[in-house]
Amino acid sequence: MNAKKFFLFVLLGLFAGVLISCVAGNGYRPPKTHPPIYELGERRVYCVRCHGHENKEMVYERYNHTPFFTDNHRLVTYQDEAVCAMCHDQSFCNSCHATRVELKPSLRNQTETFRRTQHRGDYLSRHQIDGRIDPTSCFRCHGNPKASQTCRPCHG
Amino acid sequence: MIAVHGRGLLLVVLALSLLFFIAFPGSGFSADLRLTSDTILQSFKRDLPGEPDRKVAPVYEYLQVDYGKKEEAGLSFHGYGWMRINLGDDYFDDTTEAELLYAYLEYDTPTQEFLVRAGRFYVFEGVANEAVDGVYGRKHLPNNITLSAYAGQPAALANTNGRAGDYIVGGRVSHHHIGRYEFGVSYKTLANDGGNDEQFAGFDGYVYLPARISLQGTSVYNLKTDGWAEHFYELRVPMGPVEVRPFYQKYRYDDFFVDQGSSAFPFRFLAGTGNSLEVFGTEAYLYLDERFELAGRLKHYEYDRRDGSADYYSLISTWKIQILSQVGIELGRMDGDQDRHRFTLARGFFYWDARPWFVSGDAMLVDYDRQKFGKDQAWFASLGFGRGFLGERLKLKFSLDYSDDPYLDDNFRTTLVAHYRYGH
Repeated sequence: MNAKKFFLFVLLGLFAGVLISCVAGNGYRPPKTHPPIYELGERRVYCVRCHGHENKEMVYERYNHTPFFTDNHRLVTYQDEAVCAMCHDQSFCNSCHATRVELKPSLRNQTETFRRTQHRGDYLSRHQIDGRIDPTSCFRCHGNPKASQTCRPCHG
Repeated sequence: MIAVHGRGLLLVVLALSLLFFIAFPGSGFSADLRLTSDTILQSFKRDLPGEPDRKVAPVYEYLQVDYGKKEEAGLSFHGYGWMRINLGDDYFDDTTEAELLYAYLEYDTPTQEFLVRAGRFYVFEGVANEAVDGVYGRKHLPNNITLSAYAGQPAALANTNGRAGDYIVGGRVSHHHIGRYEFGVSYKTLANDGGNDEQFAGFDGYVYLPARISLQGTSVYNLKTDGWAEHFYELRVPMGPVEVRPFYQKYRYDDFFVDQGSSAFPFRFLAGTGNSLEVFGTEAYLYLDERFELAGRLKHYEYDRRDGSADYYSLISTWKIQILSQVGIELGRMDGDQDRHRFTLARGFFYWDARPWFVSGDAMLVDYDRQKFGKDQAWFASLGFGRGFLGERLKLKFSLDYSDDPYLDDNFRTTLVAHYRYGH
């Protein structure tokens, strides 16, 4: 299937979805803020602990912060950043995704060992291997001319 | 022009914020103002050619300013940036000393049907992962349709031959059914110095199937090279206390990377290699007890135009005492096709939150199968502690780090952070 047919298929699917949802009413809007997690007394940031699996407002289990959530969160973020924004300002995203930051996330928050931030410890040595194995993962944060200034001393 | 960068603008934002706060201390203005400040003082030594043990002492200020009612829709302002000065030597002199990361006005209607932003902001949506100087709008239409669009100049290209001829335009349309599915199509075009560098279209989808099984993923098409840049799909299958998440990713370098000025130099040459990368594997989670977390991952890497393949195995186990207090270990093994692509990683960490105090620790060992600069191991350890004051509005944090690795010999670094929050 070529790309034009694929996107035509997707648009037809969207249209079919519109017809189906004509009887389903309008969507749910998440509130602007979520109650502070710390005060809730939970041990894990697992939305289903309070919201369950009934999915009346949204599919909460999509947003469970599993140990590998940092690595795959774009699949949910790119669909509805308003859900993320209930707890995280854009500055939180800017720990990694920014036009230019000098301190890597682990150095910026060194004592917050509970956060699974990228590039902990000596990443200068390790990035040579990770970069050869999968350069696409580097590109997401270091792909533009400003964000790649840390790469320039060695990579030009 | 919004695209000013440097410590000057950051100082202006800081000064204006403080000026307003001082001018209207008892008014509604100060009640709606929130400041978050992180002042970070680092100290370490570096060896430069002919100059061993040069002391480096950079001071960073990260300042976030938000104005507007946090829990209500309406007009609000959000700004964030950082700056650095050196108290030690001129080690960093050749690099940027400040950056305005975002500064935008936002208006959200009371029903949250419509949102608009103007200024510098980030767009993480569909095929976009961009900082934009311009406008963004998102509208929820009847029948669960959402439209969003943005236009302006890409902030990341401000330094590449000026801003003349730079533009970025994009948007996304999506449809969802609560608890069932969401599908979206998105588009982005970007120009640098008058030349159109990037045109991407993408599809993103999520389907919730019976038995709580779900499928989500995205595909991105490069309209300039006429080829698929990326596919990434993940299936989630819960089975009692175990959840398995097999995934598949594919990247075609010629279509994923961009060989134009809008892309960073180290990645441009990859766009001409004709290579493609397939990554597949699975994640698995074990939920036995809410205090205990065990997760594993296997990733297999295959290449179209390169000999060999690679596997990465990872295991994370955490014992949670409270939401922040925890003890954990992480083990990993990169098993590449050659010695130089292999390492074993072990990390142990803890965080003990005993408000107002906290103590944290982190230790990591990476063992390389092939030596780099005469070393085959990288050691890192960090011990930190801190205390909250003024009802946790002010928190002082200190950490002492040790590194011994191919690039550093017995290196120590101290970091002192003053984290201050006003109005939260």
